[in-house]
Amino acid sequence: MKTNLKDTGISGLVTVLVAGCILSMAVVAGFYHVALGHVARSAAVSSAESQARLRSSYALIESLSLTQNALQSLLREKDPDVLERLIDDLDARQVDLSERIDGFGASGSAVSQSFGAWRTACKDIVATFLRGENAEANSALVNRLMPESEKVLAQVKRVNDLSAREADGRTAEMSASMERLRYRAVAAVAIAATLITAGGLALRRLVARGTGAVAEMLGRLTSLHAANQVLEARVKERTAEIQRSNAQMKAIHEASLDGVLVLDADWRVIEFNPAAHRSFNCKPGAAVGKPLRELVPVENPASILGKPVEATARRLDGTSFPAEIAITAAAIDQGPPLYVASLRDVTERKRAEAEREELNARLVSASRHAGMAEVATGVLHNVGNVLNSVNVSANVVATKLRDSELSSLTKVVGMIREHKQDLSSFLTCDDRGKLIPEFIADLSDCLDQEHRAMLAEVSTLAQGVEHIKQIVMAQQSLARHGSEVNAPSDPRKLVESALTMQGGSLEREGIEVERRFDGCPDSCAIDAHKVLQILVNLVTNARQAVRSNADDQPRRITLVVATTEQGTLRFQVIDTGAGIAPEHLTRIFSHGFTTKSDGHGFGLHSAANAATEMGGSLRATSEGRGRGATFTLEVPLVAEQSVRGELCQT
Amino acid sequence: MSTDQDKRRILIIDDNDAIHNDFKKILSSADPASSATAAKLAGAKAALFGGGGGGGGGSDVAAKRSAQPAASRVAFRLDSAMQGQEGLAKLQAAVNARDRYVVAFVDMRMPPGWDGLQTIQRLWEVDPDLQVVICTAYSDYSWEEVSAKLGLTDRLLILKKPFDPVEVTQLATALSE
Repeated sequence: MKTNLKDTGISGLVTVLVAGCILSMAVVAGFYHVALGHVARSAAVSSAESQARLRSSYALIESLSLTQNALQSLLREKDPDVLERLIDDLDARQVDLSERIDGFGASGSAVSQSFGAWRTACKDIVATFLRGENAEANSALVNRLMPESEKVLAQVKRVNDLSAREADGRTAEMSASMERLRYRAVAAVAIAATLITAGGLALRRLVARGTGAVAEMLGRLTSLHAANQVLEARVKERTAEIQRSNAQMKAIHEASLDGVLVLDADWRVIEFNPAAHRSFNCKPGAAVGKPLRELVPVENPASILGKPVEATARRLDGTSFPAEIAITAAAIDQGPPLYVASLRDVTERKRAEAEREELNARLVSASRHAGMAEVATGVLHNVGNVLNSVNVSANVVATKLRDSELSSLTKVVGMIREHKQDLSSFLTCDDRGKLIPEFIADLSDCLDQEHRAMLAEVSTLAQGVEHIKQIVMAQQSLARHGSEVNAPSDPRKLVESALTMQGGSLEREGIEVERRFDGCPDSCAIDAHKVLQILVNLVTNARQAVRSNADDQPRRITLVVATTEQGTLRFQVIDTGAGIAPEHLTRIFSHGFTTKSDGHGFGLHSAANAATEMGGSLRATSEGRGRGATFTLEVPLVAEQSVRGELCQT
Repeated sequence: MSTDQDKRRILIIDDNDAIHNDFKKILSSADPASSATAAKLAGAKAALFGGGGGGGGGSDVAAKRSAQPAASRVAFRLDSAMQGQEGLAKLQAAVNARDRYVVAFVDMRMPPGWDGLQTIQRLWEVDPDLQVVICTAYSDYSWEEVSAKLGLTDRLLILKKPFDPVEVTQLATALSE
């Protein structure tokens, strides 16, 4: 639009005039004096005309500015009477503007056209304003328009001031030049022509700048209208968004599985969602107005904002249920605060927790029983075997006694008694009597043999009984330890018990047992039952691990007991046996895992469980298959000193 | 007197020495030295009390029994193996030598090698006619589990430890007939 004005506006007229001047000057170049005077006059006239047009343009801008101001006041005005006057004023100004633009004649047609558009836009704004729609939007529009318009007007004024000043200056300068030219020769014509041309160009530029600013303002007013429309569309969009968001919030409120309570500043219920109705078992609306403390007795609701707490919620019918409640303050700029409480019925969870705890307790007990069963199984196996030998020995002794040649002795003694009177003749002369001394000798040999055999058998029997006694004693001490958890015990004795409970298999299988008890305390408070259970398991495992060793490999189990720097008691069972493959190192503790053909995978599992129950740990290390294994049991050592003190007193 | 070849061969597979001794006490005949002493005494008794060839004193049961030990009791030859593998080797050798075992007493738990069931499976692969007695101090397997592994068979009996010597004698005698 700016470019069009530049080509066809006032500046075009100026260009034509200047060009005409130059042409006429060229034609009358030969007639120095007369022509120069004419040129100077005509140039002065042209300059004056230019100035007049510039002034006219300035007036136009001034009028436009006033109209703009009128429009702004109109948009701000709310009083109908004043409004009417303002509209009239605006109309008058527009008519004035229209006339001024018409004054430009043909060259002002483009300005007129633009002004028409501006006028329409202006009318639209007024119409919209008068309909009262989007009052806020309009107000915002005007608020935005104010500084903008003022800025534009200031600019236009500045530009016009400048152009007026410059035009005056240039015209004065040109007149002076004309005076000087009057006394100069042909060269002055060229200088004058150049000056006129330059002056014309400068004028053209200045006017173009003035009209450009007007066009720019017109453009701004047009965009003002467009912006207003965009604003309206946006307001509609925002309204829809808010409605959608509200619907969404409502749906969440309704669908929530947790109870949602909206509370006022006095902690009274404003709103209850369906889940809350279900939890409190009441009809919709029944709880509205109730204070929170009647429903959920919370000491000081404000102090638990944002922190979920557990509480006992009360239904309207007086029953109660465990609940978890979290209160949040809603973000509101003005007015009294609003609180939203989210409430969850945790009856089910509480029951599940209780069940889980009971289950855990049962598992602990089951694993303890399983551990005891492990020990009992070992005991049964050992006792069973020893009892077998005891039984056989007893039977052998019984048979030998039953078949004893003692009866023959009785018979011989009977014969001798019969012949008490003539014993010497009976023994020397009687056929049968003569055999007696030899018979007694044979009988003595036989009885001696019997006696020795029975002695040997009885000795085996006694050994067997002693063996069973040891196993039973170990079992009894186990039972005694079990009843007295954390009683002061001698760790060395526990280790010895664990060895005894192997029932002599260690000696029988040629396994060397090394004991390293240097760092072992005399007495300490530990759960002897559990420690023994674990040690029995570890020693049994170690025994089985070294048993398969080839004859040239050492079969050795080393038992180490020592206190650690961390204040724990450490038991180590080190064997030179089959070792553990790296991939099995952690799995060996898992339930049901076993590498033994006759294992059930419960031993190490329950041992590890027992260690954990004591607050200790059970670890396995091995450099791999065939390289032995080390099992380390660490249990916390509590108040060893006090235990010793008690021991001294008793 | 019966020769060694007449005695029935019995194989005992158990990881416990004491059990082997128990079997020996129950199933072996008396050692030669004590047999000799007993025989000499028996002869002297016969002469002294007149028990001669006809067996004079009918009430003298003890004398009669001790005078004829070999006749009233079946004689056995016992072999011991501490592990299933060793037992299998002995059985194989016996089969090769055509001097078979008639009965095998097998322990159920014999770590670290094969357990009783595994051992029995291997034994039957070599000698399907072998009579087997499983000895166990407590039941690792139920009878159903044993049947499932070894099949329903009349060549298998179970003997619970601690066992009675009479049971062992009966089993050994009955199974070797």
